[in-house]
Amino acid sequence: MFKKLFRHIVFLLTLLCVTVSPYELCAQQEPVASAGTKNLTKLTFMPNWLPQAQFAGYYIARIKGFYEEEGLDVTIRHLPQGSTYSVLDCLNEGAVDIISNLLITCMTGASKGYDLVNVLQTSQHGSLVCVAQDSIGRLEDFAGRKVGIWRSGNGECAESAFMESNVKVNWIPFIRDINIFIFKAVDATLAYSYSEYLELLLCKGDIPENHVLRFSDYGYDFPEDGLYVKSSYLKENRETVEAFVRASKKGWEWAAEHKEEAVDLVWHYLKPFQTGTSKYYQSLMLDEVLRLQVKDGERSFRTIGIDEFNSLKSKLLKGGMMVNDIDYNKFTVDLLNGGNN
Amino acid sequence: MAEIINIVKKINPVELIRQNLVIRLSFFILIIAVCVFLLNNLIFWTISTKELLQSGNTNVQQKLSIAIAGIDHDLHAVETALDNVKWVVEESLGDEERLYDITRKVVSENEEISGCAIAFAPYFHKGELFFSPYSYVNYRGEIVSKQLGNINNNYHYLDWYQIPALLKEPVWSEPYFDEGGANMLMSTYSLPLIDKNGNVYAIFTADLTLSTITELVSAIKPYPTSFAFLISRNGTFVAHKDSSYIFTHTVFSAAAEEKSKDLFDVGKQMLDGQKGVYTNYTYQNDDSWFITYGPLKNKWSLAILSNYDDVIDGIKHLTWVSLAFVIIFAIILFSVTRRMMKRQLKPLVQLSDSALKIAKGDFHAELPEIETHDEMSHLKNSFEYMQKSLVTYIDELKRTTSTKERIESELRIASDIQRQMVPSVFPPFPERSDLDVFAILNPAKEVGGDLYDYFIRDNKFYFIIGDVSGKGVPAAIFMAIARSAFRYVASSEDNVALMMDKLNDSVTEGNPTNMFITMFIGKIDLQTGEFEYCNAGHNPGVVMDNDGKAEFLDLKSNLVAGVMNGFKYSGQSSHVGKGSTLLFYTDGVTEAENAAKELYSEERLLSFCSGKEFAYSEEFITSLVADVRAFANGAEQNDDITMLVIKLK
Repeated sequence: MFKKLFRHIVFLLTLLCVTVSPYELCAQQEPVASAGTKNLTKLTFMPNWLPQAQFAGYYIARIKGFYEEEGLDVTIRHLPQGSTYSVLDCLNEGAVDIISNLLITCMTGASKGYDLVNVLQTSQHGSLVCVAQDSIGRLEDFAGRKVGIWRSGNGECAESAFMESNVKVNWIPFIRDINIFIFKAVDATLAYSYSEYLELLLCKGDIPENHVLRFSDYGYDFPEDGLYVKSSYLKENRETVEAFVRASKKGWEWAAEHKEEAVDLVWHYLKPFQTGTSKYYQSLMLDEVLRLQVKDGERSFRTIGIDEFNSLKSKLLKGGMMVNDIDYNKFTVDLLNGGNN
Repeated sequence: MAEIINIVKKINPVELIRQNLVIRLSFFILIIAVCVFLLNNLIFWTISTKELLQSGNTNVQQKLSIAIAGIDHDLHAVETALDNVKWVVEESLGDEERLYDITRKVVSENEEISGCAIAFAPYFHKGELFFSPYSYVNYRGEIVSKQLGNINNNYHYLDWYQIPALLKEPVWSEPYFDEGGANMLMSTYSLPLIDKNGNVYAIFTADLTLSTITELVSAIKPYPTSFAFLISRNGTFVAHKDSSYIFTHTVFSAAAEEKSKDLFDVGKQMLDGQKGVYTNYTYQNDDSWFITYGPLKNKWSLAILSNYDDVIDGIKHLTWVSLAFVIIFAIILFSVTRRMMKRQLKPLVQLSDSALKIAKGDFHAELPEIETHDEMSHLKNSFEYMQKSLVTYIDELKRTTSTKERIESELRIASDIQRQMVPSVFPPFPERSDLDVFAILNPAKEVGGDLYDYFIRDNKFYFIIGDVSGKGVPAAIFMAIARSAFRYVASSEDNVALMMDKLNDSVTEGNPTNMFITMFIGKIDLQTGEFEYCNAGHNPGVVMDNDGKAEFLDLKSNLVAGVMNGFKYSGQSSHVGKGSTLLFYTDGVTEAENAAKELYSEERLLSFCSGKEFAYSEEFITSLVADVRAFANGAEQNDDITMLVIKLK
């Protein structure tokens, strides 16, 4: 009796969800309770992937109260796995106030007309790799091979690199590449060194170094994760965004200084999401993400340099991934140093 | 037992073993017996353990094979179900109703299949991007059909479609939770349908609920602490006794978190599709585990973790029982052995008591009765013989001691008599200022054979010094005879040669033992200094004048006295002036030996006398005795020493 009643309730709730906005359908509420203080400025942040240690700095800023210290009541929302919506869509349509995303994705997005301003660059290095079933020596070795690539994007660097070298690979789009690689349905697959690569590592036990091609070794050592807002939002809420940037930076710095504690906090934060990953995996991911934040021996969170911006832009324009030119000064603002570039 | 505890409490066990023969022997027997038992147990344990471990391995391998066969059977049933209707799909292409019917029939006719789909490739079915008739059992147990694909569920990029499509071969998907149903753990068997051109136009799938398989894995328990785990093709735990591992950990992330190289190695072998046993596997810091593993037909791998302790639990129990038996046996053996030893060695204790009594003087102490005819009996007989011999010996000793004491007493008397026979009062002539005489007689034994004597008659000083051959009582008696004879002869005879003749005749008569005596008789006219003397084989005296010059007296070598009756001795004469000193002595002085058997010698004596200055005769003798003793340096005196010094003033 009660079981039937319960099933009806679940069904009705599902219908209700379908009728509301797609963002509310897909977004997952964070497990940490909102501050709930009226004096705090509300802000919604959406990371560009599922809950994982890739976003440890933001979780820690939320858990340790760094956002509250800056007068913010931050809500962190994640896109659910398999969602057809992107964080760019969520930001563009005003469902969230600030997002994290890849530089290359945002540059191509900006060229397509998305209103995006980079307000903080956390990653300083390119982490894209290509993992092969057999040993590989150079890009040319992939000619005609079946290589897995995200169906939703993120593989632009690899496409550009192969295109520059006139290597035609047989791209196999995927949603998740772990199993198509493990089942040897592809000869190689793209992976980020802080996520898919680690997953593959934990599936296979080890991956010989000569099975891994790092695109950073082929002129694609471009920064990746950064924080983006719409220029209109920034104009009206500059102090709020600055506060968020400062608190987020503090969160990352705390994570770097208290790595083990940070892993514990992240693991505790992730538990309600049932991500199906291990704490060890999250620990490896945090190590790698923190490594990618260091450039020239320091964690500076420097903004994107105009030279690397132009270099990446020209590669993307040449490869056709970008269709329209974008203005460096409109795309990035150095809030940490209190002004425009 | 209580007795042993009390003994141990009272005294040091080591001392007890060392001091008590019964306990020592019992202890040795106990040690040997326990060692034999333990060795026997060890051999038994080693062989049995080896056998048990082998059979344990076999047992676990059988359990593993049975489980794998069971799972493979379930998987095979699903595969067969699709294979059997594959041709129907091929004949029903384009007919949506028949395609739905096929999926419904697959689900309805195969209890183990919870869902079935025919997912077509893009634009294959009537030019549509998605077409996938799908039937499944809903939460009410009803079979429901629907079209699976749409823009929000692009199945072409899902593993169950994409992997078999790329490989063009059937595959079992990685396990997943069925989010639309009852959140059941599922795996999908995907059979690619390929046209005659070799292109995949559809993936025919069947969903298998894994609850039966995970329950089967959980039920594998060949030993109480055993457990099984199942990992999928990408190493993810599908079944594990720790539910937090399922779908969270791969075998390698678990190995990293557990810091287990063993699990890493096992994981590599399992994912490599190998079958085997990994021994000495460390699980929770205990390396007494072993993992038996083998692949399933869908390239997953099943492993059973078992502990050697469980396998040999029976033998361990037996070993404890056996050890307990050994302890009880040891206590009984010690107790019985001790009692038996005590009984057997009781006569020894009694003999010991008797020996103690005998030692305390009870020579007639009673010996124990021994009925056996063994070593103890021999010991008792020996003891008895010893007791009797001891009694006899003691009696003999008593007699001997008594005799010895008597003889010693008599000797002491004889010694005193002998001492009194020679002048012993000095100065002998205190009224005379012209004569200083001093003499000593130190016998080597209680009594000796040396003699000296002197007297003054008619203002003439008569003296004699002699040495009887041999020592002891016979020599003393002979000396007494000679001294008495001297007194007798000298009282009436003035001529020293005639004195010697008579003295010789006197001692020769009635001398059956053929003893002899060296003698020197002298007569000094105290007024004129005329010195007459007769020597019978005696050492030459030393004459020392006023100037300190010393020389031996010129002597004729006459025959010793007591050898030939009627021998005529010839006398000699000389003159000694005032201030001269005469030293006469026996060979005990010149033949005194030191430890190196060197003699004091006449040369040394003469050297001692030369230039010697002294006021009194006694002073001279005292210093000469000291010199002889210094020469002997502690060596035993082996002859009588006699000295006579005459100093004329």
